[in-house]
Amino acid sequence: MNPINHHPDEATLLSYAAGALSQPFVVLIDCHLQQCPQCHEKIFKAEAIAGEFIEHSPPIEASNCEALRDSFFATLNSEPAPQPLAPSGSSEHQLPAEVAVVLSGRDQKLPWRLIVPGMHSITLNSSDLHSSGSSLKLLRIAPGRNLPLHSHRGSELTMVLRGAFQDELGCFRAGDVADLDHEIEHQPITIGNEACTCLIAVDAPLEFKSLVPNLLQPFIDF
Amino acid sequence: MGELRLEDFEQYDWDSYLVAVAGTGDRKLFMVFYDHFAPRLRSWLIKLSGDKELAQELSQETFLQAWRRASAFNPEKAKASTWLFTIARNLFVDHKRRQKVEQKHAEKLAIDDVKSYDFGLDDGLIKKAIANLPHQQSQMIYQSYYLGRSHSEIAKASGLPLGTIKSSIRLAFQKLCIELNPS
Repeated sequence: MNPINHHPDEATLLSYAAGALSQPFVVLIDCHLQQCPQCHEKIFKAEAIAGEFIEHSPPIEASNCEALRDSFFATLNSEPAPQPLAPSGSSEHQLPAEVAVVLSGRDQKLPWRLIVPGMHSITLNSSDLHSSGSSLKLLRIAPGRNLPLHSHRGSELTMVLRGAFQDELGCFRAGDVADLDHEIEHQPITIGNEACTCLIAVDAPLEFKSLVPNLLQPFIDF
Repeated sequence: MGELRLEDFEQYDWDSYLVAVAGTGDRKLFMVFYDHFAPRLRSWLIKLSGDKELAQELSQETFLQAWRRASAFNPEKAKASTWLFTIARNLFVDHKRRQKVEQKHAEKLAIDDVKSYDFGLDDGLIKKAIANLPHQQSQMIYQSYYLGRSHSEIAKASGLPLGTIKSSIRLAFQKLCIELNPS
């Protein structure tokens, strides 16, 4: 496995820990966390902050507190005692099937959709991946090809699954994440002999800087 | 093991307390844990979801899961309050995914800008650490943890650029980590 050189912004990790990211971004961070203990540590820290908030929040005073307590105690009495749990990878999140296929190197079998020559995409369509305008896509760019220069109307996270690309911010290899917002314009170009396959979460469409991609945007679904 | 009582534990040592609950399976002991944390957790969930009934439902489910999984709690990895938070957060995120709660939040954004949010914390290092943050940073931390807003949603509500939101949250996160772990 390559050493990871590019991580999500700490602000993004905090939002993940706080439960404040939409589902496409959560899935992408989950993919990165499977390879990055360093970001895991930061998320533990952000969760510890939340624990402090809970511990030091004043208790809510509500008229039905007693009723809720009684109802909970009744439920608890019908529960068996806590059982020792076998340590397992159960806390690891399930990757979308398409991502697992890419990681296994069998992505030729996926239903890629041609955007422009040398560039294919798949929109991950499970119903819970589309919310408040955000979406999750796979993008495969052939060796030596580049995306048109673009910026973003909202947040964008890109994680390299296979291959590598380079842009104004550096070289990104498998496991690396580019965490971008609308102040950054970039033009990624693949490097090496292998196609570059990325997972991309966006919460607003990309903003292309030249006329042709702009005109094509409604048709290429990006 | 003889019957355990709250007096057997140092005040606020909820970590040892939860370990003892897992070891004994004592329901009354667990209810002491519930009595301390349920009203606090519910207070946070009401702000997060904007829905009192949902907050009650998620809170009850959180404690049920905490009971079932008490043996998995490891005080070397996290405090009891942090462990409880992660259970509640995961339940909320699951619910959000199924019900699209965030669409409701998005609708609220337009009428919810320029507010000043009060954490209302009672005590502890965290209260001091939040008080030491610049106002803008503490407000963004509040919106992340208590309102579950994404960076784009905070940008929309505050009128500030996304880059400013991210750098403010990043700086606040770094300062909070230092203040909460002075070693």
